[in-house]
Amino acid sequence: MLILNSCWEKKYDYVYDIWLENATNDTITVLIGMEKLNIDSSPYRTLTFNPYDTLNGNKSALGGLKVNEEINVVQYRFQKGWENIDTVLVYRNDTLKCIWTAPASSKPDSVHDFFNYNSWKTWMIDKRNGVMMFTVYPDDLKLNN
Amino acid sequence: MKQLKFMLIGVLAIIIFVTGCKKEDDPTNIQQGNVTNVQQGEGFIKLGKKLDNPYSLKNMRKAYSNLKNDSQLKSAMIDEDSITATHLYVRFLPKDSIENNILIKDTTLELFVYPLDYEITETGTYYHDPAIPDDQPTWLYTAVPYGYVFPNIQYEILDECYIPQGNSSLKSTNEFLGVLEVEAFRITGNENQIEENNLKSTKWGLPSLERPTGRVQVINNARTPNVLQGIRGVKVRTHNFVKIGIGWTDNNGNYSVNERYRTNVNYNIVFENSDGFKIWGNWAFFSPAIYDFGWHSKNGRNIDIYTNSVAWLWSTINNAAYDYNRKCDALNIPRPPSDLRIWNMRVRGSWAGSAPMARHIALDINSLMDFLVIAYAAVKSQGWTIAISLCMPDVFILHNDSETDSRTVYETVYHELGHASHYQQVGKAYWLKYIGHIVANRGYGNGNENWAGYAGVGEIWGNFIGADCGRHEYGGIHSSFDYNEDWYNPGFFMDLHDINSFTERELYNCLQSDINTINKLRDELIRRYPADTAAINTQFGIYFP
Repeated sequence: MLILNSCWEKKYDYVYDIWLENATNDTITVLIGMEKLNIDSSPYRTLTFNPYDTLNGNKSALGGLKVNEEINVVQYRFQKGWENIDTVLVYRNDTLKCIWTAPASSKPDSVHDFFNYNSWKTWMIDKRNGVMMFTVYPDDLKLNN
Repeated sequence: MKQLKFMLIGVLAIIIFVTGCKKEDDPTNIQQGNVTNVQQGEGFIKLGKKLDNPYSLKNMRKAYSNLKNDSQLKSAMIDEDSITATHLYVRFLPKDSIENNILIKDTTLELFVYPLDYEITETGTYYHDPAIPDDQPTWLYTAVPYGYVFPNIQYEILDECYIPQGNSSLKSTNEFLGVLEVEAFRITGNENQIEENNLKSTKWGLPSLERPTGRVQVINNARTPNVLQGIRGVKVRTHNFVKIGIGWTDNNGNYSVNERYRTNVNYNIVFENSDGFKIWGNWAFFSPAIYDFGWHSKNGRNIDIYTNSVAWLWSTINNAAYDYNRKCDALNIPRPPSDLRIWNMRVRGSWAGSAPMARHIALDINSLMDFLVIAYAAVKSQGWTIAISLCMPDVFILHNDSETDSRTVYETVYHELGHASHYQQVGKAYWLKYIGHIVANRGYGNGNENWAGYAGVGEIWGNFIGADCGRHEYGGIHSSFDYNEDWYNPGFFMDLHDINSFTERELYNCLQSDINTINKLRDELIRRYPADTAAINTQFGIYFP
């Protein structure tokens, strides 16, 4: 019983790195934003990445996530940290190809959506370090084709 | 056995609280790494028989007497009257932490926790005189120059000594002194410490007089491939009986001690740094951590420390702290107080760190224990209280045995020393409230408590500067940086730096003693950098909507 649940500079039991994967053969730009990306609102993150590239938490500046127990880390991130993120846009060659909007929730696996907890994959690399990853697939770029 | 009993009780308590009744075989249980290396000197020092000190004045005069009729030596002979005491072999018994600190702060004293005239049958990292209660300071041994003015602390002169210096302008005199020293070793039964394979063709076949030089390194597994790096700025100490030498390592871990020997010598790394900070180890509450790497040639000894050694963590903490100081210089932010005390302990469980700055704010021991017990319940005992009071650490690093990742150590140290830099600007009154908040809430609370802002501002900075320094050292933000950690969301500073180009110094400037809420932090940023008001408000809105 190490009494360290929320004090000191605790190194948590589990550390997840947040990854974004581009599984398409296109260079894409992903805008993650708040306030529905109104004209006065800057995106929280603007991420451009190459075909089949994966951005880790450092490259995406989405960082990591630390928890003390085996919880649904995707749900936790949307409820704590990303609770104000409400819009994700995917561009290919400056053309908007996909829009995902909040609220985040648990939807069927068949619904591929940034805000669907079940669209994220999580796994452990070792007993302490894990990954939570969202993938942009070719089918996501079919909007406004 | 009494001291062992105390330690075992302590360890048992740790196990119960920290691991939930897991068995731990040994307090110095060493995790096996992927590379094996020296593991000597990792536990309790075991003494053998008492030895006859060849440097005692009595033995030196006897040696002189044996030599004085040697016709070959006549021309080199020094006057018998010049064989007088040059040093005193002494021991101190500090009665409390105040006296202990007086001795530790005296940079002219090289203190040993074990007697210097005993055979050491098992080297180790700690020793406590069996005649002294375990929770009281133990005898500290050293040699002081004759005429030394003793502090008002209990001491005992064990021997008057003559330590030949061998620095005469006359070669023959120096050689005579060498012969005298060798004779003293011979007549006291210590001739086995003379290196026979290292004889030089002096007039009398004397063993040469050598200055130990070498290099001490530690493995850094945050680099690919893993690299051995010098242990920077630490003290390397050598001795044979009361002849003591020291040297400080450079950036590459190279050392050269300030004494020359004709005999084998014992080597220690003493984890006090040329920058001024000191690292305390698991059980060595009476002095900084010491790693004994045994008796070796007088010419010097190189040592490489891997993760299977207790000294790996001390060395890595040392290097991280040393590097942090230089990063402060590069980033133009104040270094932590130079005489910082970092207390490291291996425990089962998670990593943890904290920077209560206990000695610097003269925190009373009960408050410190209240603070410490939040993280480490096993310390709630009289024995631990007394022991920790001897050190009064400024920074704690608790280390899980099963983890030996250099980057984790570096980032933890950077984070904690980042707090210590913050302390430099805000001072004691601020820090007492910061700690008071943590103690009162057994953690950081929810951000709404009276003094929560002290912790909130501190943690934004600590998390940011720790990850930022880690990035400078190793590249990339480590996954352990959570932009949205707890309620204080350190991504606020990270994004102001990364997206809005605020420098570390500009952010640090805002950490004034009256900035004790996150709203005040925002206001201070705007007051100092009004041209960036929109950016500041945007980031603030993201992290604190």
